[in-house]
Amino acid sequence: MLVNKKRAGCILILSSGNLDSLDVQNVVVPYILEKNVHKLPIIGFHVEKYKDSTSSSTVPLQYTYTKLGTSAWMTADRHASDAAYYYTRIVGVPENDDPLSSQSTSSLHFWGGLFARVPSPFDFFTSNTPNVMSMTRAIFRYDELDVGQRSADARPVLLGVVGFDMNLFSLKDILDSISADLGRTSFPIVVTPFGDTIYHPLQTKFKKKELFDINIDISNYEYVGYNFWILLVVWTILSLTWFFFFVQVLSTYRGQRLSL
Amino acid sequence: MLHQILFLALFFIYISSTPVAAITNSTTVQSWADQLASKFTSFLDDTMLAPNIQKLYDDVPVTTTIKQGSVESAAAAARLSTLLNEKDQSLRQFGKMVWSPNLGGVAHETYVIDSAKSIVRSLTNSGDEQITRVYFTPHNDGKTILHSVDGRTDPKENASNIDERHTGWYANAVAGPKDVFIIVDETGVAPPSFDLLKETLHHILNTVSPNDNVWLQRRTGPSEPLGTSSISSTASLLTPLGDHQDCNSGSSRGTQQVVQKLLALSKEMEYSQALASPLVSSAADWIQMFSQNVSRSK
Repeated sequence: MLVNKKRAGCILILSSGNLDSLDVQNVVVPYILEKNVHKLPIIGFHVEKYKDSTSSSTVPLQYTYTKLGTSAWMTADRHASDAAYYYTRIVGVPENDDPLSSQSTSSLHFWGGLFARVPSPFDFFTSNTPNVMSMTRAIFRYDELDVGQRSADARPVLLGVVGFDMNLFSLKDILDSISADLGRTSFPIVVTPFGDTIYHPLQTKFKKKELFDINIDISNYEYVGYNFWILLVVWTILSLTWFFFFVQVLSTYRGQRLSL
Repeated sequence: MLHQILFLALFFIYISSTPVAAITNSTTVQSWADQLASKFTSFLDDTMLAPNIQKLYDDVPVTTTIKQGSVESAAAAARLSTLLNEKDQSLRQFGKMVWSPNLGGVAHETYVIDSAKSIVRSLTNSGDEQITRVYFTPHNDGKTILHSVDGRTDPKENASNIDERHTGWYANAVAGPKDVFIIVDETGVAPPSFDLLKETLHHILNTVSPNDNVWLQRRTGPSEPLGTSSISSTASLLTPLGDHQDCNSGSSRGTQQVVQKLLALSKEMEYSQALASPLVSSAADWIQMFSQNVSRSK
């Protein structure tokens, strides 16, 4: 199973440290509580009066708990990057840490194509990166491997992330064959729940071996389409060209008549 | 240029309108037309056998097949599911190798590379042509251990030196698609602290993946309200609940506790309005986010 129906979420407060002030609290805290209709966890990062960029630089960010949520005071440069690991604290850890039998799911995402990174002038009309399907999975491990010996408060440690990068040849082959079975007037489409297109016949019209420009919103293919914009540009250029041509002809003709 | 075009156009008109001296008469032309028609008819009927082909086409029974597409769609879904589940099983096996605490005295990086090669060998033997890279990014340092498959990508490519824990793909692997609501309170901050605040925001935005939803709300002035609600006695919400605890021991236990306490608190309060309208972060942040996300295995 690769379907993950649950979304993680959180509210992050990046504070200048003024949350010590009651006036600031009376503005910020009601706003947060009012907007937190989904009861997301709240994590506050507060900048303490900056002492020295090197002070406490070896000490990781320390968290405390308040009635509002998790809270941490940042006193060193490294705490800025430590704060970015907030995502490890908003997910439920697996009860079963064995990767083979764990109920946790793998993540699947597609990347690559014309819009995958900032395009350079040399990239136009080409696919500048390989198109890649990545499957990744977080690996947790309890200190006590024996479930029977494990205490109720035991929590697993995040070891890291394993991943595969794969090409899309097989995916395209499967969908091309389905497309051929469906005849001339029907075709298959693969779209992610977020509207990103993985497979569409317009991607294959140049008969490339691989899919390209994946992750484009499906509306670009189904509602507008590339051809519309290309035709619009070409039509505009041709219209303007003819317009200026006739203007020039008319002005030349009138000039000759006037010179007569 | 326009004069040249005009000259060519006039020249063409002149040539077209110039009368040509009669070199034949209507009887000769009619004879040529009859000969050509006869030859064309003979070519169609005798050489191409067009009437026979037409007769064959008319006589053969026609079968029209109408497909609803549901069967084909189900077949496609099943084949894709099988394809992905096979890879998922292999990824789990690789994860099990990395997960195993007993390395037999082998250095961890060497062990991971050997495990990756073993997985690739197993997949290749079973006919797989998809796999291009196998990697493991440990959470203690964020440096990826990469094995690139020879023949499908550059086997000498190296993993990037950036800390992958600050990338969207890593955060997505750990937390999945997520919703992040960020509130930045910039009131009364001194320049060095403000730099730290900006750097923190920068790191957090780097962990956003394309399927995440992000809201960003800034408060820049001391008199600027964030909302119109007023809940009394909020100051007490920021007092510590108990002893300080260290969450850095690699668990999200703290978050679970906070969620429970928030749920308890929420029962005492009324939450009526939805979240604020989303404010998209600056385009530069998104562009940088995507570029870093992609640069991982380049």
